[in-house]
Amino acid sequence: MIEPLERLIEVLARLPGLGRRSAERIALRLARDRNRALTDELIAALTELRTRVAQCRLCGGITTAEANPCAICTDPRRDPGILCVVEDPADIAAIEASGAFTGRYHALLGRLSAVRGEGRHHLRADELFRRVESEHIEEVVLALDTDAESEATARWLAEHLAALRVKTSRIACGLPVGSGIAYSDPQTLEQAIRRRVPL
Amino acid sequence: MSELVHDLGIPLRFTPWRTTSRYVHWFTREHGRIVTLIRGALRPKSFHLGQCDLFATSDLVFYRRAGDAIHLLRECRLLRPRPSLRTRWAAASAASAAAELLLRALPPSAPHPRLYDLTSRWLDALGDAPCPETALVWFELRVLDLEGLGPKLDRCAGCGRTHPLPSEAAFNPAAGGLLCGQCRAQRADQRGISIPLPRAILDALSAWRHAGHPTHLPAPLPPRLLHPLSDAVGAFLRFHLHTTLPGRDLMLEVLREASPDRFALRPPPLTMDSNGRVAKLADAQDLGSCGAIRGGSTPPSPTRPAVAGSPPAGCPPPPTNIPTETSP
Repeated sequence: MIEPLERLIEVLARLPGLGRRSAERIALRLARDRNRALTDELIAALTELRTRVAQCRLCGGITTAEANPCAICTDPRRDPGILCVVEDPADIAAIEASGAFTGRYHALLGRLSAVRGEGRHHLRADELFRRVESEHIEEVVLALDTDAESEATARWLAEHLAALRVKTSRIACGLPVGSGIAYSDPQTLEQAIRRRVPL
Repeated sequence: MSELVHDLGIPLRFTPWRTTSRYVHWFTREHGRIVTLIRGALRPKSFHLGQCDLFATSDLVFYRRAGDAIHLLRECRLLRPRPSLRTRWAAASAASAAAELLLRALPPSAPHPRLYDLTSRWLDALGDAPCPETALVWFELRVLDLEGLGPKLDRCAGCGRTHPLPSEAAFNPAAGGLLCGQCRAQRADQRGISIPLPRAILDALSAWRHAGHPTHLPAPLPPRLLHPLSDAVGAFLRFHLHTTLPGRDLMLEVLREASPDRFALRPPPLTMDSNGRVAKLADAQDLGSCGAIRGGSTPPSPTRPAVAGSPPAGCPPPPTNIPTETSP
């Protein structure tokens, strides 16, 4: 493989969801781009991404440099008293797609995990505590993942938030819509029964 | 050609692969540390969803491939979920640090049933441990013992003399344990630093070494003893495993922040030089009596939230008496 192509394959293979074979396919497709239209578009898009896309200085989500804070943080129709804490900015899009939450967000950008090398200073926890105090937040919803490390991170945050005298809640954990009880795992069923709701 | 095998395993780490699949790094009883791929692990209707969780024991069936290749998981069933590690963040942090140690210390695909059994029982007990940092240090020493790397604590690691060790023997990772005064003086400028450890810590270590069952974790040490011991064991691990343990330091930071006297007795980190020796950070005179540990109290961070007053669940307040024995 010639050197520029090999270099492109190496870079592409570092992207999530792309293995070496997929990276090769993409690189060869770009190499065969005769009139350079696709390559030029890709370069322009990447350049724009680099120059215009930024991290929202309030929530940590993805926004543009000229709209920072992001559209969600500055939307006056949003409930300013409730904050949803997520691990990753991608989770904001998922919750937004549900349409169930009308408050604002805060992305932690990690969790407490030794094996991932993420400690308390890798998280945007101090920013969260500052926001809770300065924005007079009434409730914090912890929408972290459900594995052991995320659960532990949620408990750690809850203890610190309790000292700030803010109401803290955790998103419920139960059966996915459309699934069957017989196919569910014991942990999920236990959570679903323990956190049942009256009808 | 792959072979279908059955084993018990504890997930130590998950890493994502593509959109919904993930690799699981297991510590298994009969096959040691292995990696399996779970295809579609995060799909809502995945057969494996909820059947494996960090630090929980699962029964697994996988296609074993030759060498250190990634194996394909076929079946997985959660046997022991250990829910207290989900609800006690301090215990989960200690478990996370232990997982990092196992991932770095264990060679791939090398069975170690005794260490697996120790890990399983230790995780069972950790959920109720009053001081997770004490439990972590105890586990680390046990791992070192089982790996044949345990520090020599009952005799001088230099000359082998058993008695009398000085009231403050020096702990020297490069020498492999405690040093008497004479050996310490001889090695002063040869192989890394010696860390003075007070007699109370040595007594506690001796009791731990002779205590029996891993379901009986030792009583919590007060932070003034625990933190120097923990740092000495950390230096020992780094030296003998030839690796850094950054996650351990991060978890200890979180645990100590929760400790009532969290701004006391914070030592400077020990580092290794290019030859793998523990680097000298201070002159011997500066170390003094437990002084390697004494000097570095960390001021409160200006960004720290106002959480003082109701410390979260980390270590309990220091007991008045030093534990000398644990239940058999």
